[in-house]
Amino acid sequence: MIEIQDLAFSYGKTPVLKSITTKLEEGRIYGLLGENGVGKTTLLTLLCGLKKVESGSIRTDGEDPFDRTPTLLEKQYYLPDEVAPVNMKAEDYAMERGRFWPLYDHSKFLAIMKEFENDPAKKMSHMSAGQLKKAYISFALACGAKYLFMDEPTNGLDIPSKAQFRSAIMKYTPEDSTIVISTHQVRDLENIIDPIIILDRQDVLLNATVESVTSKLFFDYGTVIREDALYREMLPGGFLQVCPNTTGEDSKVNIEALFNAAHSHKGLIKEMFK
Amino acid sequence: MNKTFDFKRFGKYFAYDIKSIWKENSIFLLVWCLLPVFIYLVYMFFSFVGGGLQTFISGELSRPPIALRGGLFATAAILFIMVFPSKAFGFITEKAKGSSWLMLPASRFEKYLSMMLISLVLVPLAFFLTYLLSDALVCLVDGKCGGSIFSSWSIINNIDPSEEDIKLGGNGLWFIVSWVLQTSSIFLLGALLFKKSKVLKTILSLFVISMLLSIIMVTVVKVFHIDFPDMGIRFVEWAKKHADNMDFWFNFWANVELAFIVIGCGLWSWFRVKKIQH
Repeated sequence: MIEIQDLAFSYGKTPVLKSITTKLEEGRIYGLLGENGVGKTTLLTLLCGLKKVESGSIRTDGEDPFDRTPTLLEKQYYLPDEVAPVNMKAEDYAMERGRFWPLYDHSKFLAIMKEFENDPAKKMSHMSAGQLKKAYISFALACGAKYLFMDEPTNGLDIPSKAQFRSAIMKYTPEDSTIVISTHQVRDLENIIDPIIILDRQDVLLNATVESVTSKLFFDYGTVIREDALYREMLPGGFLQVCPNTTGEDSKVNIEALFNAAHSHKGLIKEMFK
Repeated sequence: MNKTFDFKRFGKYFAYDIKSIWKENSIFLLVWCLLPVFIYLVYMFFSFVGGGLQTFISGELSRPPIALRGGLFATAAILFIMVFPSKAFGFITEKAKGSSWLMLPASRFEKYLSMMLISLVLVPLAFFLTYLLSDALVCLVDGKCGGSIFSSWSIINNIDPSEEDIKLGGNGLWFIVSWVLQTSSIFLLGALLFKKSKVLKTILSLFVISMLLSIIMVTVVKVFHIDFPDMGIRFVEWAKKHADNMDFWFNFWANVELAFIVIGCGLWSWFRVKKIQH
């Protein structure tokens, strides 16, 4: 489990994250959402130990990730937004590096590469940006890491690859793993992320499971305008409205609409999901 | 398993580090190590162009003289030792490659130790050996090369110094080793501290540091009215007194300087590796 307590971080005199307290539980795929510059990547890099917290603490299975101990590093994998082309064949790269993760499975790597229709015998420096990203995603999933942090993993992927990515995430990640995916492309991951974390300026606006969201908010895909709507968007033939769920009726979460509703009613949403 | 150092894990990481450096820099390393062959071929080509076919047939083509080859060897060694740490480990300051390196499951100390061993010992040693071997190979193929650099080793190592030979004070071989260790540690630190133009910025920093030290020394002497009466005479007297074991003193001060620089840069590099953030 990852425990974040009163976390604060700033770049020089510009605070990015302030007083963040939350827990990331096992067996969940967290979707980390937020506007540009709210600190999604910063939070991910703090979680995996690439940055040091300024105040507060992060504990991953009781360890400070910034200590970068091999025992913790073996349990986690960080996939950055920008990946580097290496002058090696993808399969060689995976084989060489995979030896450092005790649960790395090379056959899994090859299977995911195949699902992505990516050639493992191709040099990574000769791959397109999308192919390179897919090679790294395949490796990340094959490592069998308990904690997987992915920054904009679907950036640069073509339409079929996005579906393949969702399928690979569901198929190849261990049951007890904690996955944190930062993304702007919410529609790419709508059906797999649960819980949803929305970051606002320096703060967590919402950290809730889909079940909790639908119990408190109702996503109305009707034709009648509702006065109590927190957010409304025109769709062909009707509206999508996000309203407080007063009847306990179930509905399908639209993450984009939830994000917009949360941003237009920050105080209310924060209070609602406290 | 020990979180700081584990032999098995270090062995695995060290082998991985060497392999990765070779794969990423193989052309760079080969070009530097086979430089004597290239220099010989280029020299012979121009010698042939200048002298014509007749000189080639008669075997009177001029060869690169030992002094030139020795000079080029020294220049190549200086440049290689300065550039290699940035080529091999400069990526650590890059966001994508650096993050990937930091997240590799090995301890910080194992990564640091591997980096120090490769930059300070393994690669410089491999460079010197392969360079000298490729020079010897040229002389093996062309008997009129005028002797390999390696055969002139006695000059720099004072094995049998004659009156005409260039003589280095102290232990010549250790002088070279200590220079390699110092320069490698300084330029490795530069590779870890600067994000771009690592070699140039390291040279400029050395220049600035030496200027600042000179200014500080002059200021201290002036402010505190420190006077060194008859300093030249005193030094000559001291030198006369220790004439029999001058090499010892030369080596002593060279080793003090070596220890100061290697330990200083080594510690700084360690803290950089420990604290680096991306």
